[in-house]
Amino acid sequence: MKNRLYKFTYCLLALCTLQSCDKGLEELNINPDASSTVSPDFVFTKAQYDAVGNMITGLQGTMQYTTSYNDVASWGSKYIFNQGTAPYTVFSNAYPNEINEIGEVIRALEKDPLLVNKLAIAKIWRAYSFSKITDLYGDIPYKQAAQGYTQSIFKPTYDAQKDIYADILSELEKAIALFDATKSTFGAADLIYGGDITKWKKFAYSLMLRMGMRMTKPDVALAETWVKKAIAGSLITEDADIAKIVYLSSGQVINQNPLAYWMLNSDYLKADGVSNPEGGKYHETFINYLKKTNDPRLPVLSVVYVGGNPVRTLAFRKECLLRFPIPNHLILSPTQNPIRTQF
Amino acid sequence: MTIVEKGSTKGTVTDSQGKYSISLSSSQATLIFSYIGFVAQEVAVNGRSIVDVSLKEDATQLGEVVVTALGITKDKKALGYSVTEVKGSEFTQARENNVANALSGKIAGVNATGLSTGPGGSSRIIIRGNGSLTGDNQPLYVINGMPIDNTVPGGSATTNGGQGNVDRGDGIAGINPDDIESISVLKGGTAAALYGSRAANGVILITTKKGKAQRGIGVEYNSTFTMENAAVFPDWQYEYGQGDGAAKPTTQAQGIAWGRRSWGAKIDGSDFVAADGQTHPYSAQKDNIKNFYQTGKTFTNTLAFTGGNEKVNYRFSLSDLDAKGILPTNTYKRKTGNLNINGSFGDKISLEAVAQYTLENGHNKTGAGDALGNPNWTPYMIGNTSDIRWLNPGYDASGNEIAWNDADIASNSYFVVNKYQQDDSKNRFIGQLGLTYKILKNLSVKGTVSRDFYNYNYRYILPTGTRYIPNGQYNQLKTDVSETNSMLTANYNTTFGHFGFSALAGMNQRNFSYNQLNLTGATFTIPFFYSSTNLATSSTTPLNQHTRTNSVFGSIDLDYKGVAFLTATGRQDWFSTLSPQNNTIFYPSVGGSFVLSQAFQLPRLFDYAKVRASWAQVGGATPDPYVINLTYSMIPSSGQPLQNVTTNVTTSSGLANAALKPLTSTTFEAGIDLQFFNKKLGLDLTYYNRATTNDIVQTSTSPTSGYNSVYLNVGKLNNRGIEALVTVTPIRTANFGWNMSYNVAYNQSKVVKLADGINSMQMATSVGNWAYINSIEGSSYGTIVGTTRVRDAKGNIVYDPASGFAQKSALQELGKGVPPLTMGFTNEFKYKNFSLNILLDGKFGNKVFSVMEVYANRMGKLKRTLDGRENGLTLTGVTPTGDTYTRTVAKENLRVYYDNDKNYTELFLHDGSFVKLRQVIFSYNIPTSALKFAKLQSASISFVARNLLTLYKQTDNFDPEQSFTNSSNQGFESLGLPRTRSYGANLIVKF
Repeated sequence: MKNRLYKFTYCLLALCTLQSCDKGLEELNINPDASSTVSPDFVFTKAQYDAVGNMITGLQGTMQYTTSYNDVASWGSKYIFNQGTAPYTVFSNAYPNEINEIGEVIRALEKDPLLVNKLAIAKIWRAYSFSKITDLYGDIPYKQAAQGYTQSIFKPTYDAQKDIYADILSELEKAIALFDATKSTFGAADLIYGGDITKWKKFAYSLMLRMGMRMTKPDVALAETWVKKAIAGSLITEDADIAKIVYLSSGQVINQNPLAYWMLNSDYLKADGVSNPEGGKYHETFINYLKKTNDPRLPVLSVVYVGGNPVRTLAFRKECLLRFPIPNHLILSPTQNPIRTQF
Repeated sequence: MTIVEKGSTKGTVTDSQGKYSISLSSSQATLIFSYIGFVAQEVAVNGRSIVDVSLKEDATQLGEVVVTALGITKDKKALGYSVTEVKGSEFTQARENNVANALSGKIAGVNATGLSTGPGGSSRIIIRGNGSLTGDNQPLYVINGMPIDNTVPGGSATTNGGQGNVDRGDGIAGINPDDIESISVLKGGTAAALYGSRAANGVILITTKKGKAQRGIGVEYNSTFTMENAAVFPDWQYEYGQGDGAAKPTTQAQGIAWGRRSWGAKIDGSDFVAADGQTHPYSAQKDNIKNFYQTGKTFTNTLAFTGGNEKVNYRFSLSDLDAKGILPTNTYKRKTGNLNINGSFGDKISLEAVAQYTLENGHNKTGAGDALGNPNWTPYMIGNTSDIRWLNPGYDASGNEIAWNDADIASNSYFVVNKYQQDDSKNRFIGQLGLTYKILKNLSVKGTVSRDFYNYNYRYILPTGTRYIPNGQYNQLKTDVSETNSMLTANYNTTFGHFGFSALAGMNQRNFSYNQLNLTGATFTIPFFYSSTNLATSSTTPLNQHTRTNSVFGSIDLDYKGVAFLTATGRQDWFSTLSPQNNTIFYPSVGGSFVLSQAFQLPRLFDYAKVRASWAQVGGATPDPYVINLTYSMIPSSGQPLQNVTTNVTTSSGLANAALKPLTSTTFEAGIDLQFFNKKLGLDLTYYNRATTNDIVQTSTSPTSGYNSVYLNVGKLNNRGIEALVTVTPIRTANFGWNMSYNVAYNQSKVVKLADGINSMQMATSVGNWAYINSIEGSSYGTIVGTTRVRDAKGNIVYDPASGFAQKSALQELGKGVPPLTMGFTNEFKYKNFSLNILLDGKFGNKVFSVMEVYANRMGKLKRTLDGRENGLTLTGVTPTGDTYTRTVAKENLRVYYDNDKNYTELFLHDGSFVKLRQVIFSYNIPTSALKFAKLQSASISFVARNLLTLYKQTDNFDPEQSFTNSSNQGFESLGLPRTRSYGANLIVKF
């Protein structure tokens, strides 16, 4: 009887091991909604959107361009401690997004010598993305950055800003040297220049010029060398060369101008000139400064609503702006204030 | 007692006097008398018309049989680990809509918390501490031996979410208490080894009611009506009224701008203008909570039919629960049909089958967390001289939200309950089929298939006309979840000499699938038309997860003369979530018990003495599927195609790791079980030590690594503690009985290791990042972290002369989010047909951070904000260099001064300890002789109350049990629904 039990147990075990208990398990663990291979063009486009869109939102409040009668939105002008994360989000967003993405693009493109132009453009874009972060924050992780997957580096060390600028400069030089007009390049996936090698060279030299000028304080001799190199190359000199992304006016959020989208969908959502959920309006300090310097942009900055309809006469806008800026001590919602910031 | 005629379908049961009558097919028939806890007896009738029998107590059984893993009933004295059983009647009389909440205070070491989210809400149960740094750490729920699903569709509410941050309800919420025969709680690893990895956090075994052999059809009707009301009210200041800068509002503009500010003039009964533009007396309005919330009502009716004979029996129940929450417009309805069939075909084959269908419908469940769309915001924050009803109905003639304060994000609660729409429905089917084949008398094989499937639909509408988002938002979830288990087991038992031997071998395959579409959109093109087709922007996110675990397992039980017992188990699991090189783990357990009182002649004082010990390992693979390989996902785009590195499918930016291997949870426990003085005093003591090693942790990494977190096998977590259960029967006479039961448990939780170079892991943040819940090396799981005001060595507050505010400290540990000490005390009195059951429940040693108090402080409602109202507030302290610092804040500027207090977490952190009168049940068994005309078998009526009184608490303005999420992140209060007191009546009638 006991034998039978053992036989049975053995059978059970044998059944399982022979059939292999992990059969089919690996196949089951494949995400049906993701791809195991990278499409460098698509990731590159994402990295362009991300690097350009990564900016300090709410800056107009921090810089006291705008203020509000309420406490939360007016922290810039009423000296109330900011409870938001705005000061550091550019830093913490950059690495998991544009920096890691462009790194993945480079990792994929490096394998194929036919794709050197794409590789060069990607390297220039990485240099630009890093330049934005170090400009904002100074010393940042650079050499070891975004190597969590490739090198298992989970806590990268910081590099000195001058070393970062120096490396960006040499990276730009190397990238420019990679260009080969006989090989293929990005098409529409490059939102800025559509893969135009000449324009990317201009962009790279212009960035070299900017980085070179950044070096004037730590190392003026080195700065001079790079600035001269940049000028000897080809710089952006005309409107057609301007690096810009043309956004869509509707559709998915990522395809729309991020600054405008953010404002138009938060405080300036209700386009009637009177009501904004957070009460944000132009701040008198800012308007008075523009007035004092007789700044020609003064009337262009705003939309003025009368009876809920926008009025586009510049003189009228200017007149309103000068009459209705919000003083920082305001604590009640103004009942009459037809001005709305313009984007 | 049940009486059946042997070999026929005829049967009956005795009445309360023990009398019975049965018509037999022959005067020479044999009757079988049986009753639980007694040895069944066969008596030949031999032509008699009166057959009297008295059954003998089954010494091995009475009160000692418990249901253990795989639904196997075992003699309690044979167990090497702690098991506690709670009878179903404990859940049906004083019922909670979620049956798991009713476990609170009943079992040592089981920390059960009902959420304050209204009917249909989830529960959170932790057995012997949080065992893993990731995952929900809740026990596995098992019905009749097979696991069921307990997921919350779309995930638990977050600690800081805004609009739509609702508790969608967990799996156990769909179980009807009336169908439950008993609940066993398996706390130890040994108890759980047979259920595999998911049992590492303990198992809650539910045994459902079954049919029984009887004559005719038995009918049981159970009806409960309960009412509930908000029971905890904030202790606000009512000396200075609504307003700002020490002035009261005199225009409607001021009434609105200062709608939530109580920084006004001294309350004097003069006139002021409120947000509604009307002139009202400037008098304290203390009843806004009472005035806004309504009386909640729950009406539950269950009708059950039982019947059968020796061969086949069945139980079929239908239940309807209809609840109206305390939040206006909130409703929850649950309909359950449950069929349980047991049958045997010949001597060899027997069958058991359960089918349950549940339909749950919720409407306008409460949100909690941030302000937007949170219906609890206004009643707490409205100026203290305004009556909230002045804001009713919250919208104007065109359906737009009416402003009541300066910040549109703080919604008008009447607008939320009247115009926001939140509806969900869950169709759920649980089916189980088990077939047993008896190969030999002592060898059987059993095959079981079970499937728990639900389909969930959720729709949340932030309507057109909402002041903060005027064009509205839309969210829709469609979730299909299934848990399927197929199991084959073989059972063998025999005896040789003084030894008893039984063995079990089995295999199981578990398939889990979670398929979800999440549609979010904004801006209704046609205002007030709420359809997903009417959105200017929308996106749909799919989530399709499939996991499988294959297992083989075995167990051997040995007993010697019923005195010494030994159990050994082993299990091997293969997990689909790990890579083929690392996807399997074997884990053993061994446990034993020794009944001293049977082995030795103990002093007369001892009736029973048993020692037990066990050691068990449980392997697990907690990560979500698809986290071992780096993949790339498309991002919806209206222009060029976009792709990104796939971040963790459920959370953000988790880095894949192919080297993950299973984690191990090891539990050692030892205990002693004693009974003295004719079983009038009982003591059950347990010590346990539970360590989780190689814990799979989604560890935060520096975002500069390119990823916000990575999955690593690094965590080490330890939970150890003691549990004690003392039972006393001071009086036991024929007519009067008094039983006391006291349970207490202390759990010490310690995070031993996170990852190299990482000693703190952030788990959650409050609204505004004012407080955090972290797991920190060397501290408890889920520690509350925040800031304090910097003090010098003498305790003086250090002020920053530049800002004039106290210096804010760096983040530091401020207390435990989970109470380490829990206890429950039950007193049960019986006098003839009356019984009274009183349960006290207490938890101690944790802290709660209150987001509501941060706001109440800023709005001038906390009593502490009275300082300085008359003549300004003088601050004295020291400067960072040690000089004396003093400044006076003018009374007009107090609001800005107090608002800054949000930077100091310590000010809004309170001891979360409490003692509550959790439950009182007064019941009366109606003598059936009095109701003979109705042919009743039994009837009882009970008056019940839950959460009747809070006897002790340290929080002035909220209930310490104010949780609004059943996730692992506990320790925050964030403007959830107020806790309630419920009371009602329950009627049970059996025909």
